[in-house]
Formats: sequence, structure tokens, C-alpha cells
Amino acid sequence: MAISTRQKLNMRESTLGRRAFLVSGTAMAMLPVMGLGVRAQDMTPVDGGILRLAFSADPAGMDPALGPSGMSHVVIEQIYSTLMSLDPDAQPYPDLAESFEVSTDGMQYTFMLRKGVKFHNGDDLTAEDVKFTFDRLRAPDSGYAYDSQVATIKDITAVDPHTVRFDLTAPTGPFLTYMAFPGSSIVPKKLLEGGHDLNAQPIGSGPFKFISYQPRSMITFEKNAEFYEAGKPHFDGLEMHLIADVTALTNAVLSGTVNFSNEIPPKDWQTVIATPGISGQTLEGSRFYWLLPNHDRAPMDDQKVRQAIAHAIDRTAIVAGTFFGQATPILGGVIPQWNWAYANLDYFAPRGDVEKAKALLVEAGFPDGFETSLTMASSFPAMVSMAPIIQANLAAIGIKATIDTMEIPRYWDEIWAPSKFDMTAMYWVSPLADPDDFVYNNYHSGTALNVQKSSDLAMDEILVKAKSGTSQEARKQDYLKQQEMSLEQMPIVPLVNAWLLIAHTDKLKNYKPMRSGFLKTIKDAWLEA
Amino acid sequence: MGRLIATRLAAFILTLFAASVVLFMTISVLPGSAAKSALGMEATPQAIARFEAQRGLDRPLVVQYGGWLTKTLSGDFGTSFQNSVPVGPELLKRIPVTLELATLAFLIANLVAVPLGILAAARHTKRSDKATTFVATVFGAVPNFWLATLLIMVFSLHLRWLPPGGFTPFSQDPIQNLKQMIMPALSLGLVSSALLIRIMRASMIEVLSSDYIRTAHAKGATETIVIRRHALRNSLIPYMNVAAVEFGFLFGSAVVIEDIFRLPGVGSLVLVGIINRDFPVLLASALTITVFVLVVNLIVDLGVGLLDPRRIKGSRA
Amino acid sequence: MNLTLRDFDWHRWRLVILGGAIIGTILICAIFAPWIAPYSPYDLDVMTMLQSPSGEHLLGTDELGRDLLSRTIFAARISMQVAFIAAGVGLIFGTLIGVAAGYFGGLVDLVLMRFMELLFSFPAILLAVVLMASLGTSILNAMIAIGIVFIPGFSRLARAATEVVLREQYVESARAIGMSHRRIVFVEILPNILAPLLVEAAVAFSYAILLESALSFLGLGAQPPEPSWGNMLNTGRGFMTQAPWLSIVPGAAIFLSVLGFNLIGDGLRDVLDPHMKE
Repeated sequence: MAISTRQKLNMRESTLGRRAFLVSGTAMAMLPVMGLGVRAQDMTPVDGGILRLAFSADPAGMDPALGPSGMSHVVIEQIYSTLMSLDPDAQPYPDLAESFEVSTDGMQYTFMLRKGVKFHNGDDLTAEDVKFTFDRLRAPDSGYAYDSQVATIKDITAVDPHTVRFDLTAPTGPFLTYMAFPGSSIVPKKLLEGGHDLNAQPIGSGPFKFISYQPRSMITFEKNAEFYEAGKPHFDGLEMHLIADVTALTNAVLSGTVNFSNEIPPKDWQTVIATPGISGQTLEGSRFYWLLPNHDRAPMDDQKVRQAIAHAIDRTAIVAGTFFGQATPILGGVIPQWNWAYANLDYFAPRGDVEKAKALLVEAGFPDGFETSLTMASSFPAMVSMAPIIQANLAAIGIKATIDTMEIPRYWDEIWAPSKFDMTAMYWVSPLADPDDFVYNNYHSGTALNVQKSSDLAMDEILVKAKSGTSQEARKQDYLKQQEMSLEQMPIVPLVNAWLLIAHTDKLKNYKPMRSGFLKTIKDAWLEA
Repeated sequence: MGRLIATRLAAFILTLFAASVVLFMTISVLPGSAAKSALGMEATPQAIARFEAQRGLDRPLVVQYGGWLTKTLSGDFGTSFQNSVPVGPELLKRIPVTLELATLAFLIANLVAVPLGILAAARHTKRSDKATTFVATVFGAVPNFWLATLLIMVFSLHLRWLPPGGFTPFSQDPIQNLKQMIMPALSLGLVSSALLIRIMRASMIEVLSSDYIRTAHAKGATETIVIRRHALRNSLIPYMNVAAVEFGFLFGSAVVIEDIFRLPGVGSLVLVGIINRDFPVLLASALTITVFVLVVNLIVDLGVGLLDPRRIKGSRA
Repeated sequence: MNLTLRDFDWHRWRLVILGGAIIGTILICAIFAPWIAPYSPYDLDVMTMLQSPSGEHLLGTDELGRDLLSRTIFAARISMQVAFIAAGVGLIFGTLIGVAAGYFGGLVDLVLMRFMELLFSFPAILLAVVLMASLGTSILNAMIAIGIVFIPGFSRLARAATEVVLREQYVESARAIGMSHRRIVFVEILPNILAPLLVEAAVAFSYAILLESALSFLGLGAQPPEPSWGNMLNTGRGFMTQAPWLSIVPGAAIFLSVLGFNLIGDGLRDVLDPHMKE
């Protein structure tokens, strides 16, 4: 296959600097094979020590059914267990389940559970708990924010204490990934039926037990000595330091107050990893930033206009200016290179193509451009930083965009929910890393996330088909079609995929960062003496 | 005497009540959905409706206020929208932080203002007076958040003598606590001192030009003794009157400084409440600051009234 | 009589002149910004970001490669606008309320001044922050919010000054001969309370600049990419080690403006009534 523009960019035009080239090279070379790290480390694990992690947000809740925020999931992951889990490259593998079977028509999944798994209070974890967990999520008044994941479950049967069968209403391609989602964590049926409040005192079967939570300050955990993976976890406990201010968070990492964080802002990345005693890992995950033109407002309803806008954007400038080099410009479809559904379409020029964009505008009937507005949420520093760059890019092709900003609480209410914008920008973090999760909610008509009000029958059909495909190969072909369609119709304008930046002490060994952005692999790591 | 206390107390309670109404109404109509802020952008309309029903946000404002007032008077400050944790205990933990900051800043301000003010007054109309007044004007023009930033750049980032922020309780580690508080206290205190220099100076000048001082002069006492014994005592009272009120306001203007140095005080809690549209948190912290200011004013009023009966009546302007 | 330059009492007006010079310079920057600034404040060039002062960029560049000097000059517009309008709002409404309270006395006085005292008991920054959150973050709302913060101070002053004037004989006589309320207020009272109000206004200007920059600093005032000294200082905070000039310059601009207005206020106070209590 011919070398894509992206590879040419990295090899030749290293405007991002040699270091970025080396990093992105490594990211591309990471092999999706579980257990085979790029660096083979045959060091013996060391037990003991407390890992101190820094995060900026408080968890909204610690009950898997009720905690929709990202930070809740971080906590839930350590306390509870799921039937399946994602490996660092986002491939699902059986976790609580020892093994599983899928029927050929994809409508039935049977999981054989490990034996001898206990909740932190000593109770055994059985198939009854699994059934209870999912019935709870599916209940009509559950308030579960991700109910679309459990929508295709028709019935759950506890065949015997260690075997659970799920019967679906339709084949669901990402089903195994859904089983790995933190919301799908198995909860203790007996305790909940007895009125226990999981939010106040979370009890699971995961590697760490919950000890205490001081709001805006700290969450503490201790090692689950009866964890079903023998010998793990290695740490005696965890301390999650909650530091709202991101500069303070960075300082905490620099000073050694904490020894792990995945929230280092791109602008401080070089300083942090240059500090003695601190190592850094970068990883391309799935944190997409895109521009949303409102299809209900002319001329954004014109496909050629949207394409013109898409071609005018200088993605290299956004990578450099907003992310200080720590991002991948999206030059084709949004599904990233490390994912099995990657389409390798070469569509955008990294610095934009002003001539092409102008030509498209002329074709659309706007030879002199037009006036419009760009509304951004001011609480996201990345949006605030990107806006002037996008404005300048649009000005170069004759589109005069004014920038309006609004702080987040009002933005959700007054701009996002009622789609009251000409253009806005947002990012989407995919916690599941299944291609369906990258594209379905954003491209399918009528979903809550589709605030750009795009609607196309063919797009809807291909999305549904790809989701319910029964083989990965079949799904891959469908996603290829979907990506091509997305670039032709351009309902949203993809910008960049920001990298995960993880800084930790040199003494942390065997930590493999996850593309999904989660921290399940903490249980495999240890601190050198 | 009793009448004075009674009327002042009544006024205090009335103002407090009115302040709570004003704050409650203003905060309750803050644009931007509290539910969406708490639940995130993926929240379903059902979840939002449930949240609002649980928190009583769908009831008329007056009813909400009544409910809130009843609970607050019994010590229940509600639970945070963000994490369902009770606000009261967190607030109680934060008050000492802001108190320490305000007190240290106040101390610094006075340590600077009193001597300089006296000096300026003693050398009234001479060069050192004009110089001192000018210095005070310059100090007073410095934005305290700029001073804070400059202090961090010099003492934290460049010299690495002091930590750039954070808070350790004094009881836990007094040295670290002072290291963390010195820059915030300086930022607040130095700028405050500018105002206080003028007050001290004006107060001293007035006293120095009064009759009984001239009498003391005539008796043959040397200038320093005159100043020390008579003038200082008499000028300190009107000075403390203003200074104490300023102390009350320091509690409130700590908001920005607490944000810069990440001190977990009441001021930074206000900001947290605003950013997250977390009404119980915002209301409780804003009200706490207001209560503090009102209490300080009350004490000053009572103190002044008790110490100098002449000042009770007459305009307070 | 010919008044020459030498007859002018420079010494007496020295503070006002010094302050006036500073404010004058800033005003010129604000009004003539497009002609004075070397670049547009919006011209970005990501590849030249965070450069230290040089021949091309006298004060360096910010995180998007925009010229700091130009942005600082343009930011003067926002500060000056907010200062004037906020002080104006405070002055007009505060005077109205204060004069009304002082003139009519009785119940009107009681109700109005109690409400003013209530507002006054909220620390300025707290009141401004809560008001901004409720009105929405924009420059216009910052003007209104800060103006509201000033009203109690002006009203108190206006009321006190009104009371002083009311005790004068000529107001009694005016009422005796049947002058209308409005005429009395406008002709007799207002001109005589002007002096202290002007001094307070100068103080209000400087405080308005401080409050506006504090609000922008907290993210509640002028929003990026609109340049305001406060939000520039806030952004600069993230780059203290890489680009300290981003923190130093906007803060210095705020300092100078506040100083300028303070000097004018002090100077006016000295000139108009050297024995006036502080």
C-alpha cells in the first residue's frame, strides 16, 4: 500500500519536532497482543507501597448504575469487577468470566464464572449477582445513563451458580465490550436487597477495597487480599488525590506528592517528563475533537459548505498550538489507526487546503464567503485555545466567524441541548474503544449526542448494520463504508485525536497504559523498593 | 446599654435574614442547569427530572426557600449536588483556613500600617510624610492577584524557597503551614495595608492636633513621650473601628487568593459552587462569608458604642 | 488679567496631573488602539508561540503566537469601558438613592438605606462573582454587576452630603418660597454634593478596573480570545516558567491604571478639601 500522507508527515515534515515523531512512531508500532509488552520486562514483582494518583474531578457517585462521570468510572474500576475487561489495546478478554460462548447467530452469550470469587464483605459472587446487576441496569426507572448498552438484552438466566446466559433481541457486535464497561460492574445482590447504599459504601470484588472519601480531597483504598487474580494487586493501597486545579495537579506530580497522573496538560508535558525521577508514556486513545456545524442553519446544511470548512482547517496548527504536539491530526475517518476498524483513508491535508476549500465554497454558491458564529464552552481550555485558530482558518477562505463563549453550565442548557449554535466544537472520549462507540451516537440521526442535527438514511442504516454484525471482518467492511460516507457527507468536521499523557514515578514498573483511558492495569503494576 | 445591644442585635438578625433571601433568590435563578452540571452531558431527561424532583428544584422559589431555611436553622446545610456529600462538615473544615489567612493578612497589614501611619502623622507635611503617603498609594494600586503571581514566580518557581500552593493544617505541620500561608497572607495583607496606613495617619493627625495634646506639649513632655502615651491610645480607637471592618472584608476578598494558592477555604468553595452550579455549596459558603462580615460589623458597632457613647447617635456616613 | 503658565498652581495639582498623565496615556491607547498597536490582537501564528521579547515582538508573544504588546493595548479598551460605565452606573443610581433618602427622610430613608447596608455587607468580590454568575459572563454584564457593587457606597456618600446641605439655610428658604422638590434637588443640592462624589468616582474607576480584571481572571468577565488584562493574566498563570512576561505585563497594566485613578482621586481630594476626613 502506498505511504499515507500521515506517514509522510511524520517522516518528512517534522514540524512537531523529532521527539513527537519518535513518540508517534512508537504508538503506531504498539502491537495489539495481550501480554506481549513492547519492552519485555522480566523483573520480579515487588509487593507493597501506596500508589498516589492525582485526578482533577470528584466522582459523581460510586454505584455503577448511578455514576455517569469519568471519575466515577475510575473509582468503580478498582472496587468492582466485570465479566469481561479490555486489555491495553482495547480488546475484550474474559475477566470475572473464566470463559464464554457465543451462539452462531449472535443472540446468546453464555459466561462461565470463576469459582471462589468473593465480595469485599466476604459474600460469594455467583450468577445470581450477575443477573441481579443487569436486571437492575435494565429496570425502567434505573436512571442508568448508558441504557443503550443493555437495551438489546432480552433475558438473563442464572443457569447454575457459576454460569450465566444472556439472551439478546438482536445481534450486538460490541456486546463483549459493553460487558467490560465500568457500568456493567457486578454488584452484591444480597447487600442491595437489604437496602445497602453503594454510593456511600461501595462493595465490589475488585482489586482494591474502598476505605474513605473526603470530598475535593482524597479517596483511599486498601488492597483486596482475597482478589481472585493470585498475587495481585501488588500495592498495599491507593490514594486518589483530588486536585481540581490542573496547575496544582502538575505541581503535585513534579514535587513527588503524587506519583501518578494521566491528566497532565499538554503544555506542561515536556517539563514533567524531563524531571528526574518521573517517566512519561503517551498513547493514542480516543479523545476526538470535532467541529459541529448546525444542519438546521443555512448554509451549514449544504454538504459542500461543510466540506469546505473541513478542508480549510489547519490541523497541524491545532496540534501544535492547542496540544503542544501531543495529538494526532485526524486526516481521514475518525476511527484511529490502532483500532481494528481503521480505514486508512487519506482525505485532509495536514495544514489544510485553502484552494480546495475556496473552490468548494464557490461551487456551493458562496464565492465571497459568508458570516457565521462559533460558540465554544469556555470551561474547556482546549476549546478556548482552538477557537482563534479555527477562526483564522475560516477567515482565510472568506468565512467570517465571530467567537462566542459561554461557561459550561449555561452552555449545556442554552447552546448544546437546544442546538442553538451555528457552529460549535466538542470532544468525545470513547471509554469503550469499540468502533461503534466512536461513531454511532455522533453520526446516527436523532441521538442525544447528535446536536448538529444531521440526518441521513444511508448513514443510519450502515451504522446499525455495522453494530449488529456477527463477525469482526464483516463489521470492519461496514465501518469502512461508514467512514467513506462520513467524509463525503461531512456531517461533523473531525479535527484531532488528543493523546493520553501519563506521568509516573520511575519506580512504577509494569504499568501498561490503556487506550480506553481507564486504569484497570494498575493491578498489574508495582512499585520498586 | 441594654437597649443598644438589643437594637443592634435586632438589626443584625434582620440584615442576616434579608441577606439570606437575596442570596437564595440570586443563586436559585442562576442560568445553567444544576442537574446537567451534576449528571454530565450524557444525562437522560428522566435522570434530570429525577434529580430535580429529589432536590425540590421544581417547586416554587418561596417554598424552596422555606424548606432551605428550616433545614439550615437546624444545622443541616444540605448535600452537594455533585457528590451527595453533606455540605456542613466540609464548610466547617474550610472556615479555619480562611480565618487563618484573614488573620495573618490582617496582622501583616497592621504591622506595616501602624508604624508607617504614625510616622507619617508625626512628620505631617514633611518629606517623609509625603513619601509614605505616596508609597501607600502605590501599594494600594497593586492588584493582589498580580502580587500573588509575582510572589509565586520569584519564591516558588525561581528560588524554590516556598511551595506554590496547597494547605497543611497548622496542628499537623506548623512549619509547612506557615510556608504555605506566607505568600497568600502577604498578597492580601500588603495591599490592605495601603488603606490602613491612611486611616492610621488620618487618625493620628486628628489626635495630634487636638487640644489636650497641645496641653501636654505645654507641660514640657518631649515629643516621643507625648505621642506614645496620649496620642497612640486615642488614635487607635477610631483606627480599629475601620480596621476591624476591613478584617471582615478580608474574609471575603480572600476568594481570588484562595483560588490562586489552592487554599481549601470558604472563598474557593464559593467558586467551586459557581462553576458547578452546586447550589447548596454556593449558598452555604456565600452565606458563611456574609455572616462573618455582619458579625464583625456587629462587634465593631457594639464595641464602639460601648466605648464611646458620643458616637451612638448621629449619621453613620 | 493674563494668566500665564507660571501662575498655575502646579504644586497643588501635582497628583492630579501625574494621575491624569497616566490615565491619559492609557485612554489614548484605548481609543487609538488600531493605529498604535503594531499587530492585530487576533493575529495568531502558532509556530511563533511563547517567544520572549524581541525586535519583532517588543513584549513577546503569547501561547498562540499573538503579539503581547498589541493585545495589552487593545485590552485597555475593555478596562476603560468597564471602568467608566460601571462607575457611571454606581454614580447615577447611588446618587439618586442617596439624595432621595437624605431629602425625603423618614420611611423612604429607612427602607432605602437598610437595603443599601444589606448590599454593602457583601464583600465586593463576592457580590460581583455571584452577580456575574447570575447575569452571565460578558463585558456588559460585568459593567452592570460592578456598577451594582458601587451603588451602596455612592448612596451613602450622597445621603450624607445631602444631609449636610439640607441643614443650610438657603434650602429652608427655597422650600419656604415654594420651590418644587425637583428644582431644589437639581439646583441647590446636587451642585453642592458634587465635590465628594467626584472624588468617590475617581476611586470607583480604579476599583472598577481591579474588579473587572479580578472577574476576568476568574473566568467570569471578558472571555478569550477577547483580550482583557485580567484574562491575559489568568492565561499567563499557566506559563509562568515558560513565559513569565505573560504574567508580568498585563498585571503591570492593571497596576498603572489603578494607580493613575488613585492619584487623580487623591489629588482631587487634596485640592477640593484638604481638611476633608478620609
